[in-house]
Amino acid sequence: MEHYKNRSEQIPIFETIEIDTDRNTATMESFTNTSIDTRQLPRFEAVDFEPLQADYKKVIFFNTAVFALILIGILGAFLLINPDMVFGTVLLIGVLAIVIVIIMTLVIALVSFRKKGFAFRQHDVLFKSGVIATTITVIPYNRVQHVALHEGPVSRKLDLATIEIFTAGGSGSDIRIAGLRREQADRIKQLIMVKLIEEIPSIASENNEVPPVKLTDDEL
Amino acid sequence: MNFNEPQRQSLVGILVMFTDTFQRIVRGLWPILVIWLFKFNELNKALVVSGIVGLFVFVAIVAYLQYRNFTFYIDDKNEEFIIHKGVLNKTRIAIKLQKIQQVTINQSFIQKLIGVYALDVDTAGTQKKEAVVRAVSHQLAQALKMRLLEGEKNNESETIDTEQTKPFIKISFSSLFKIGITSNYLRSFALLIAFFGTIYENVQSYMRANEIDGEKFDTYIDKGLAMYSITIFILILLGILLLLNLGRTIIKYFDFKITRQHQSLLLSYGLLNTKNTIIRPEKVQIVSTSRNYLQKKMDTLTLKIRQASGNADQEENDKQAITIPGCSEAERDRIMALLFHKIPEQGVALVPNIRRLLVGIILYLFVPLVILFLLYTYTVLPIAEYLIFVPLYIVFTGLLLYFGFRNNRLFVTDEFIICRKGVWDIEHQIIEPHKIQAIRTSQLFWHKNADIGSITLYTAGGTISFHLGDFSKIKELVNVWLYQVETTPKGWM
Repeated sequence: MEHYKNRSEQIPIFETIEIDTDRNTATMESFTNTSIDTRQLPRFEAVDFEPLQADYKKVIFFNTAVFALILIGILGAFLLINPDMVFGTVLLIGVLAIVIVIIMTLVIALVSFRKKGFAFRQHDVLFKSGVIATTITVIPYNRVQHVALHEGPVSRKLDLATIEIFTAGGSGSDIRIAGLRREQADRIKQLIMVKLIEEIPSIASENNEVPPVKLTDDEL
Repeated sequence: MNFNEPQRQSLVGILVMFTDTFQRIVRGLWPILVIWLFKFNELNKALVVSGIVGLFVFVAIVAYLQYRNFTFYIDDKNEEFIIHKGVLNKTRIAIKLQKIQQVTINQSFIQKLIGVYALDVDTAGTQKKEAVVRAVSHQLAQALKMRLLEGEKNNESETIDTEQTKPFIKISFSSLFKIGITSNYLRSFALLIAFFGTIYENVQSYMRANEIDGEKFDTYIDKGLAMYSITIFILILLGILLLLNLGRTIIKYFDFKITRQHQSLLLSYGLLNTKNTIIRPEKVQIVSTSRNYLQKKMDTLTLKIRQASGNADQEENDKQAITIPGCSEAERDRIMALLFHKIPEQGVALVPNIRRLLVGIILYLFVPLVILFLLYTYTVLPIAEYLIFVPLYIVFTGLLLYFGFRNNRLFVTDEFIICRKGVWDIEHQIIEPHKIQAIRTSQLFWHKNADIGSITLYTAGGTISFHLGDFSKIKELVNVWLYQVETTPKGWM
């Protein structure tokens, strides 16, 4: 228990991490089985969440613009088919509806962007999101199945990337962090990779079975 | 036995392929067939007969080709089990021997009749049965199973012939009977409705096709179902329901045997189709028990075991769950002891907030009644006739909500997390903390001051959720569980 700390991690450069291979033997020796004082455990709810990159707002604007263009296209096509309505109330209602929908979409997207945050602790990764309900997802590193890094065409221009962290718990439990600096995403991936190597021996020694760990690197 | 040369299945296996293909065709075409049956008199008999004969010949040829083209062998050099099959599309399936997780020998009704066995090969990775040899002799099946599992170093235990070991638990006929008459009321009711619904629809479309006055038919039905006969009809319906359920349970789970094989459990059951499944304790993620009031009085319950499936879909997971019907409490405890190495106990209980009940009442009682009232006062719909049902609805829904609320608990000990839920069938979902893959907490912004929130625990065999509990307590538990998962030497699989 005293050895269990779960402070937030500085996302490090790969080379600076030392893999503590003695960790298992050390914990074995100091193994005690006293009851846990739950109030002394590190508190996940007290973690400071790191916000996403402000540049990601540009991606949001871009996506909304594309969405707006599609809506305008639909309205235009409708008016082309019914040319007599061009000056009617239909045009007015259509334009008004599009404006409202676009503003709503943009506001929700921006608020949800502001609400998102992530934190990497020594033993787990946390992700916070949600406008109406605040949701916090926690994945311990020793349950991570694989990590993927994505870069969309717009994101690439802005030097942004998305990290996805998968577990065996199904799609509902996966964490997807969009709007990271490319370099930051790379380091996160490396951090998790190192954590995986660090955490797995403890499992393997017990079970002779190393869970499959894949690291994919899409769109690179 | 030599498996290195490509070989075919048993020749009588053609019969299995024949019935399989035939079944598939009939299943695909059954609505058309029903209509034809109604119109049988009007159709050209010669055409019908020749059509049926033609179909038989066609299926027979397909079955023969399926048999001819199906060969399997073991490639020693590459350590692969290889199957060639297909009539039009030729397929070659190669499975690395060391990737084989499970080989089970099953028998369907037809296979039982002609004395052949099916061999299912499961591999890690996909959830589908990847390779199925459908008709081989028992001797060959056993030998092939042994040979296939040799590649898997960790599990020599699987190669032991199961029939020699004594069953660990046997579910008696009387237990199955008890479960059969007390469970699944809702599902069989839905099935029955669907069944009568399709028949009614088919009859109607037939009538329409034959220009019989549909209205007359409807009024005929209305008359036939006058008040007093409705009662009888419902009684008969309930009788059929019970019988159907009973029959289904007994046919599916007849002669349920659980055998211990070192650390694994081997289940075999079925009257017409004999099924074999293996449960490995380390793969088990969620164990749930379910029973209702009647079953509690009779000391019988249903156990469901969810293993790691690598499948994200909750519904798929439900389908893959292994069901053990008709356990007594003592038998349940023995199975639990084997799966968990100890019997789970309920510890500290977490209670949902009263708001959960209130929200239910507002959504399912208040809102519908307000809508009904508005419709009653502002429209001319004939609602007055049905107003007698309103108190009935209030009582029924109220009871459902109340019991649902009262039964919903989350019990936590150091070793187990147990979620209790349900209205009539009360389910206990049991997981061990180290099987948790991820934890998600969620709180609506207007619940912040009341300090209530929800939690979902994700495992590789499904999720467990508890809504509107004391959020401080939940957060404390999350910290404990994270600590447990992150320091445990135990793997989740």
